[in-house]
Amino acid sequence: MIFFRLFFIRIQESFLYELVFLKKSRQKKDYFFSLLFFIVLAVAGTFFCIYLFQIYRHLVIAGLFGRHPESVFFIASLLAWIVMLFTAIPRASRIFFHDSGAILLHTLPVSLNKITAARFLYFYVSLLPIQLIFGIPALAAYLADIREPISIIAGSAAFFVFSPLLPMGIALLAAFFLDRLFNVSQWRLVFEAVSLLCVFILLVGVQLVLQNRLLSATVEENQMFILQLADFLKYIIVAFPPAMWVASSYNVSNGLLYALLIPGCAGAVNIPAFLLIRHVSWRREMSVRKNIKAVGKPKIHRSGAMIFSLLFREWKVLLSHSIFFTEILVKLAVLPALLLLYSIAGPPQYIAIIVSIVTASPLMAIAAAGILVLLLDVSTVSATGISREKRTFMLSLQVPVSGRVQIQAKLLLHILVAAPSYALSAGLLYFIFALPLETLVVTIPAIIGFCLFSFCSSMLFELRRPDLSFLRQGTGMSPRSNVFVASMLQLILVAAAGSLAYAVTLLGMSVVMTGLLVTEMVIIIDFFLLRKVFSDAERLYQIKRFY
Amino acid sequence: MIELANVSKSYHRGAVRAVSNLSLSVKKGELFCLLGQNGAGKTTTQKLVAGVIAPDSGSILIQDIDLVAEPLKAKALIGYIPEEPVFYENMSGLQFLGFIADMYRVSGDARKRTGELIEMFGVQEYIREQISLYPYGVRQKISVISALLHAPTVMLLDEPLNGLDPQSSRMFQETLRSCVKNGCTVILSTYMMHVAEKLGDRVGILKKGELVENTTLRGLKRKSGDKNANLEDIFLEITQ
Repeated sequence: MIFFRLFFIRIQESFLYELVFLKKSRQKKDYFFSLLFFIVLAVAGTFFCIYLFQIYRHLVIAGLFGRHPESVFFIASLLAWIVMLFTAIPRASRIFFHDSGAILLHTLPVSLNKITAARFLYFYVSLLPIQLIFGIPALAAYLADIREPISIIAGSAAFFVFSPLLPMGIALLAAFFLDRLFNVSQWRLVFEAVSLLCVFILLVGVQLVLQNRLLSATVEENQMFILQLADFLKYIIVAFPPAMWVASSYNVSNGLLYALLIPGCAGAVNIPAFLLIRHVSWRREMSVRKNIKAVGKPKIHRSGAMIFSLLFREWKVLLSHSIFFTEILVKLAVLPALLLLYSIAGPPQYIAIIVSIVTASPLMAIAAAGILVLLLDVSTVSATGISREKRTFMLSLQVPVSGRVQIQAKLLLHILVAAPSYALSAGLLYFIFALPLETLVVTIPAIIGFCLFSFCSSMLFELRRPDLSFLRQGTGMSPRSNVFVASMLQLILVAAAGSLAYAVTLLGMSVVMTGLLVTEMVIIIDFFLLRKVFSDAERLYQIKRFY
Repeated sequence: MIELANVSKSYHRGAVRAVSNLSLSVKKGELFCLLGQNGAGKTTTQKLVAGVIAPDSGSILIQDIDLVAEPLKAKALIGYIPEEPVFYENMSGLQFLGFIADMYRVSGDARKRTGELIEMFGVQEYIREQISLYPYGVRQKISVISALLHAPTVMLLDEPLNGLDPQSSRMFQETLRSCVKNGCTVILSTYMMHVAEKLGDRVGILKKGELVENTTLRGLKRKSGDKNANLEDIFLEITQ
């Protein structure tokens, strides 16, 4: 009973609890945004699952040629384990060695075994969604061809239930040793970024290889490629025995034996980890870390321009939690990274197909430009720019600095964070599609215009309803309704700009002139929106309604 | 000088009345002690005067400047130590103080004062470390320094001695005294009756958001009818 109480308290404190039940929305009866959030989440999740499914289908087909269709679970396990391992190391450090509730827990008359076991269960449950995200599309791709109930049940038990215990145990031991050197939980950002990068490269790499071959080849070449892929899978599958065992547990003939091997392996890693952690975490949590060094006479930095001090503050707030930074970085990096991969390894035929689609009609070109703008513009940099401050917003109200200046610093941050992404994406597009350089006359002001619009549209709603009372940093970011509302506004502007562009193109205006006209329209809208943002900021920052 | 006229503030759409029709005047060079039980409205009053929250009704003047009409001018005069100090946790103490100094446009020689305050409060060994690593007492000292570094003429202190060691507490009280002597106006909220007794020129007692007493210590004693009664006894009698 005590064990489950401890476990549920952890769940209650967790990001998932706040996210899944959207407590605040319920309290405020803000159902519309909760619904919107779930719709966006469902659409994004479905797209990602379909994307994975397509890749897995090719692997199953290749596997069937080599008589090992279950090898798809090998790739799925690898993907899930990479993400799990990297995200689990800092998470383990936080749960087992830097738990803010540790002092309270250790003063209670509860055995260390129960505390550690409850943390173990929580740690395991928090990692399961990763396995499900990468595993369910693999199972669906596999079930399209193979239906052997016993092997599927045994394999799925090993794959979904027991296999996450392997990276979990390894992560726990890694966290244990790394934490002796530094506080791993503070480096969550780096671990998450590395895991996402690995998965991104692996997925897009596989996709590019498939596209390269399947687009170019004749039927015979296609079959040859699939046979080569089957051989390749057979070759690499032995390189990672645990992942091979997980995949083999789906094997019709001897899957059950492999399925039994997985809990055994998981136990072999996790039991020593449990015993080690049980003894050590208590001592580590209770020891005071004092790494304060004596220094010479302190000198405050020279008086700087107020705006740069505020920009420094914005930067520090952004870095105050890895979720803030990672989310912004990931969103801004996706398009440039995709373009970079395509510019290096993209099949020329594929690029030719894209060019032919985009240039087929003015409407298609405008739609493509609109999608690009939306991909870059929709970010949480400014849509959560005030909410990120959380309790420290009180300092912003306390100091004698006008709202306009405070918002100018946020605008500066928006430009500094978003501009490299815009510039890199534009540069790569020019390189990949060999766009004429004279169109830069339109591209550069358009980037500025849409970047400013992205800021204004996000900030307008943020100034009206900042959420300064979120419990977890994660729920202070993407799930915020302001992000959705800002995205909707951006969608409307892009649609309006696209309609204008299409109308003038039909009247015979040249591409460059059309671009300039649209950019001019966006910049005029920006001008009025910026004025509105600054006047709203003046009201918010002087004395307002938050405390 | 601080003037509050008929100030009211409620939370949760009027469900909780934190401050009710509060009128108060604190003269230049006066240290006014605000006492009250938990939830009496001391922190809300401090936040109202600091310009962090807006009153529902009434007016607040800081040296004849209307806080609601000209908040920036008024805030520039105030040094505020909240009950629970707030910091940008991943800044170092020095970066934080630099930020605050920039916000108050502290420059030149006045900026050197920060270094002196850091030494005076004995936090120099922590000052380059991230604030999140600081022990409670050091955080409180940083909060005190950040409130003093722009040499404010109005000080709003909400439990400023919490977590300070005896040396720092003594030093802070001395700093406060000299500040008041030089014309600084102070509103001090505290649970420490002996501090209020020692420092306060005048004492106000809040009860359920209303100012039920506003007089000198001598006046309070006279009212209680016991010349030997201490502030704690009088306070308990009034608030019961």
